[in-house]
This record gives sequence, structure tokens and C-alpha cells, in this order.
Amino acid sequence: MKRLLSLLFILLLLAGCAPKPSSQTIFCMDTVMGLTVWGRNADDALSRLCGTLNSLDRTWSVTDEDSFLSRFNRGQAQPDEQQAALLARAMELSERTGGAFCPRLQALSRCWGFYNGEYRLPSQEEITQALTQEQWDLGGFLKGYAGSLCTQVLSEAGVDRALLELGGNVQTYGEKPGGEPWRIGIQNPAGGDPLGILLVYGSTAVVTSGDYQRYFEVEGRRYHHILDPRTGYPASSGLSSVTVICSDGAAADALSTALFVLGLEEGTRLWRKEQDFEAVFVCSDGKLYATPGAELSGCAFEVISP
Amino acid sequence: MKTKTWIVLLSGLFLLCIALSLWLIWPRPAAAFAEVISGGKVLCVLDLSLDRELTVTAPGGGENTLSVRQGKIGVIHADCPDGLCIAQGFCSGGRIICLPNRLVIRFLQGSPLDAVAG
Repeated sequence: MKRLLSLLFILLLLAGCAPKPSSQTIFCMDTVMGLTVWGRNADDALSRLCGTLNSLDRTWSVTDEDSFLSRFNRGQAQPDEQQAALLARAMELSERTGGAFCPRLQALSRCWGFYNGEYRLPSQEEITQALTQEQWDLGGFLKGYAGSLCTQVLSEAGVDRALLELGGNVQTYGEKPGGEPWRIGIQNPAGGDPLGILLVYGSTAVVTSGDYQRYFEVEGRRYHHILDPRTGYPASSGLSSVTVICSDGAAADALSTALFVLGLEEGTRLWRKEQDFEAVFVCSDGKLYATPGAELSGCAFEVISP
Repeated sequence: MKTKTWIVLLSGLFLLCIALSLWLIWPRPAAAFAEVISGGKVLCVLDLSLDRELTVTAPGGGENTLSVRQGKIGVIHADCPDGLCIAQGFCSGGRIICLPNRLVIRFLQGSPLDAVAG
């Protein structure tokens, strides 16, 4: 009897214990990344994730003159198989968005000062000149691609689940216990607590592009970092942010940039074509629009008709 | 000892076990804490139920003044060039980031969210 009781007590104690995750915060790709991993091989997986992310950062850095990307842009290096596949994927997404996401705007971003933080208003001539150059810059794609690559690393490492916050991009991996959804907030462009909550399941990427993420102001006017490849100026399509929910991180990242550039109407048209992702548009006037499959709660919004 | 004494003793122990287990399993209101990370290292953990202000000096010399107010935390002053950390306002979930000063404020408990996209 006594033995049985102690056994029962131990079992009850164990039932109250949830396995603790391992987590790490790193600075990578000019942003902060929070990695949280659950499961037996969590620590091993974390070090592999850091390796993968840092190696991507080194290869595709626009600020490091010795990175592969810088040498490639100068015509001094040829891509290997993996690098060629990544460039091809970026081009494919650019074509899908009709060029609204463009991975070749390095000269343009540089003349606005978005790389070194020395922001300035370039002249029209500078902008026109920069638009004719075709140097690669994978911002608006690389973090999303990194999220997808990380899910491969996690699956090889054999962990249960993980939550990767790659500088505002969220990548989930695996199921939460009991099939509970992951609860992902949408950043309020005006600051403060999140606007609403998105429920996502399994391995999913949630990526937001917004005019509040990196910007500067001149005479009360805001100039943000999402440049419209058609004009060379910050996109002004009446949106504050766009969040894309998609199983593929690279697509989510490129599409959120493209939808932000295109605006609500044209962006909706792009979504209607294939409907293989979900999106939440936050307009400058504060109104929210969401595609029917987006499980959004905690805020008022209008559903976009298919 | 008599069988009766055993029964009393064991049932007492049993009840104690149940009570202890219930106390362990019972969901309690999660206290909210925020972790302040500077230059990649955890500097301190703040209890968000206690209002206060503190200034964090980054390894590079930059300064951010944090304020805890009514269960929320925000950056009220910073010498970084863009001031984007202040623009993020007072939050109780997600993350507040000052990239130039390598400061991250992360919420530990009490947040109903797993993460924030944006």
C-alpha cells in the first residue's frame, strides 16, 4: 500500500512537469534572433541553427565587402550549386510578384543610406541611376529562406518542436502538445501591444513587412526601408504593414514585401491567383483586412472575398 | 501497531499527497517578468508588477532608459540614432529591440503569445 502511494505521488509530481525548452538569442543578419527548441537534442540543434544562420549571414552580407554576395556582385565569384538555387528561388518569387519584390536593389538601398544608418534623401538623378544597376541584395528574402533552411536542420536534429524569431519573422516547427495552435501576435505599427493574434499550426512561417521597422524622418515625412522597384522611393500604397502566413518561409518573406509594395487592391489580386498563402493587411487608417484562411482574433477586421 | 492506526496514518499520507499534487498542478496567475538582454547577455529579470525606471548601458557605451509601468515595460529614453526602441511603446508581450545598442527586452511569462511577427 505504502509503495503504491509513493508511486502515485511520484506520478502526480511528474504529470506537473513540462519539459523545459532551450533557448538562445543571437545577433545575425543585422537583427536580433531568438531561437527556442524543445526536445532531447535541443542543445545540439541550437548550435547547428546558429551555425546555419551565421554561415548564411557571412555568405549573403551586403555590408561585408569580402562576402560571397559582394564578390559575386563585382563579378569576382561564381555561385556553387546551393547558392545558385537560392538566387534562382529569389528570381522566381520576383517574377511571381511581377517584380514588386525585387532582389536586385542594392544600389538603390545604398543611396538611401539603409545599410549604414546614414539616412539621406537622394536626388532624382541618383535614384534613376541606381535603378539601372542590378546588384543583388537579398533583404526581404534571406530571413524567410533562413527560416525554411532551419526547419530542415531541426528535422535532421530530431527535435520535437521549435519557435524561431528571426528579427520579426516567425518560423514555427512541429506541433505543440495536444495539437494546440501556435499563437503569433501581429505587431501594432503604432507601437504598444500586438494588434491581434494569429493561430497557426505545425511548421509555418509568419512574416510581416511594415513601414515602422526601419525608417527616418525629414521635415515630418517618413521614409521607410521598403522601396518600390518601380519608382525607387519608399512604397506608399496606403498600408502600414502586411503579414503573410505560408508553409514556405522564403515565399512568405518575398510575398509580404511584394504585397506591401502593391497595396491592398493589387495585393489582393495577387493572392486570388494562387491562394496558397494567407495574408493580413493593416491599412494606414488602422483598418484590417484578412484572407479567409487566416485565423485572426482579438481585433476587428474585414474578410477579403476569394 | 494496530491495523486501525495504519489505516489512519496511510489515509493521512494519501490526503497529504493529493493536496500537495493539487497545489503543484493548480494553475496560478502567471507573474509577468521581462528579461533584459544587453549585448547578448542577460542583464537582469524585471518583475513587471513593480513600477520603476532603470538605465542600461550597452557594451558599446549606448544608453537606454527603461520604465516599468502598470505591468508593461517600454523604453522612454535612448541615445541610439533612430529611436525605434521608443517607438515600440509600452508592451507586455513580444519583444522590444534596440538594434544600435544591442538591447533586447523579452517577456518571460504571462504573455498569451508564443511570438510576435513584425
